[in-house]
Amino acid sequence: MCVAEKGGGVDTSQLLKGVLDLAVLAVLDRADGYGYEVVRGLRAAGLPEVGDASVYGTLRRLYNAGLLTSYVMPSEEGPHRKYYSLNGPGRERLKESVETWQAFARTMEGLVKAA
Amino acid sequence: MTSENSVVGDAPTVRIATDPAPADRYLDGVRAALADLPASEVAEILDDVRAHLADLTAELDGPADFDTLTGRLGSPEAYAAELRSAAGYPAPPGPPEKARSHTAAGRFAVALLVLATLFLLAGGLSEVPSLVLFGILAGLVALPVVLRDGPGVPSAGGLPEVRRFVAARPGAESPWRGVAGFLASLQPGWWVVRGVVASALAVRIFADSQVSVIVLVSLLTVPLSVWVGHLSRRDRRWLWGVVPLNGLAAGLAVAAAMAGSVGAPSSYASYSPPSLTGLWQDSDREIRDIRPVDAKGTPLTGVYLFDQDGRPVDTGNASGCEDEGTPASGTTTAAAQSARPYPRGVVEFDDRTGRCRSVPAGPLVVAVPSAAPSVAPSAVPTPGSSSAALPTPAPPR
Repeated sequence: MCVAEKGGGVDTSQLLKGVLDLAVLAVLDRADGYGYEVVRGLRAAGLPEVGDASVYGTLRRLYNAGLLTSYVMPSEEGPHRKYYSLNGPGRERLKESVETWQAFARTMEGLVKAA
Repeated sequence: MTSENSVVGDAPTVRIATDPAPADRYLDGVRAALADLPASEVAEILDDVRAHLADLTAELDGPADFDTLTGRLGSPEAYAAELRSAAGYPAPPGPPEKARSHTAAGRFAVALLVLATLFLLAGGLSEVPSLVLFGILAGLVALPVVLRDGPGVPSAGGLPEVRRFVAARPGAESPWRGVAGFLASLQPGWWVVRGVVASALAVRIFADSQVSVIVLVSLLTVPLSVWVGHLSRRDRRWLWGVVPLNGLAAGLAVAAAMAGSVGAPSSYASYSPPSLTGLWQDSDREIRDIRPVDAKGTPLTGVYLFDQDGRPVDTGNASGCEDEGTPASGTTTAAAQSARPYPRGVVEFDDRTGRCRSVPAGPLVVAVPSAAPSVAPSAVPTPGSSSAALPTPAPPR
């Protein structure tokens, strides 16, 4: 397990690293989106710490893992936008991750309450 | 466009300060920091980042200079590093000074790998195993040298020749970008093809080539090939080994396609003999009658022929006339057929009557060795005349 060292408190950005995949998949499950839309979706959901480049990197990794498909839409202003969308394996992965997360969250909840 | 992607962390020295410059400059910085990744992957990333920068610029609602962008996103190098770690790409190559001492060995290894690719391609095309073997050996010698200094292959990747080759890909505005993009989109198809080729090759080495077995093995090799394809998209080190093997697969695929279009492979000939009936010369010329002549070229009649075991040589009949209809004489039943002397004439199917009829041996010109060709007079056999008298020759044992 990950141990917060040197007396520092739990850093949200540290926590986020482990669940960024799940967060990105969850945002894309609501609606297809291009990179910056996903960033904004995460911020709007209450995760201001998320780094832009981390989201873009995560999107590439999920895409290369075959969990996302992408398509290009022309936009009126600026360059065209590459939209990412969940595919079958992506939805499957999301389901698994949600279950893992919920089990983990329950465990932590119990642990924290006991403390 | 600028092409300074080989210089890590150096901002372009000469640039006219136009409006979209800050975003371009930032983009160039990111591109330079990711220069060790596969070109297609970098192009995909930069498409995303370009749109990202455009969105940010629009959001800022004011003059977006380079400092504003770095203030918002961090330096291009930091952005690239964060993206790299989130995307699971390999770490960037170390400082180029370390590689310098390996330049000669690296160059040798790269040359060997290029040679290996060519040999494997030629070996696949010509299906000459020794060429393939040589290519594989060259690759095996070169790979450890190329890969020995760890991730990013600095000694080979840092060579000026290799950098120039990588930088030579068409820029974003070049009309070739569309062609390159189209070819890149065909890549997954190629992964499937090379998987099937690998399966066919393995089946051919270890067993008889059977389509069903090839399909079965393909179920294993095609996913493997696609997996390696995805892997080499993310981690360029794989290409050093994958490209030479691609050469072999391409050669074999082209050779197989050409063999398929030219006609049935030669091995088909070996399947036909069991279906032949009657007497055949070299399995391509049916012998329907035998016309014996003596040393002077004079035709002989009433000749019986036997094989090395004393069994009668029977020309048989492949025209399908044996069962159907009977010749006019009515004497040539299957049993009596072998008792007839040569020349026998032939039995042919008559289109007009729809029945089989016996065609007597006609005039024939034969060349007897050491004798002038002579015209054999119409040797009309006398079917039936000897059908009752079975030949009783002594077998030549």
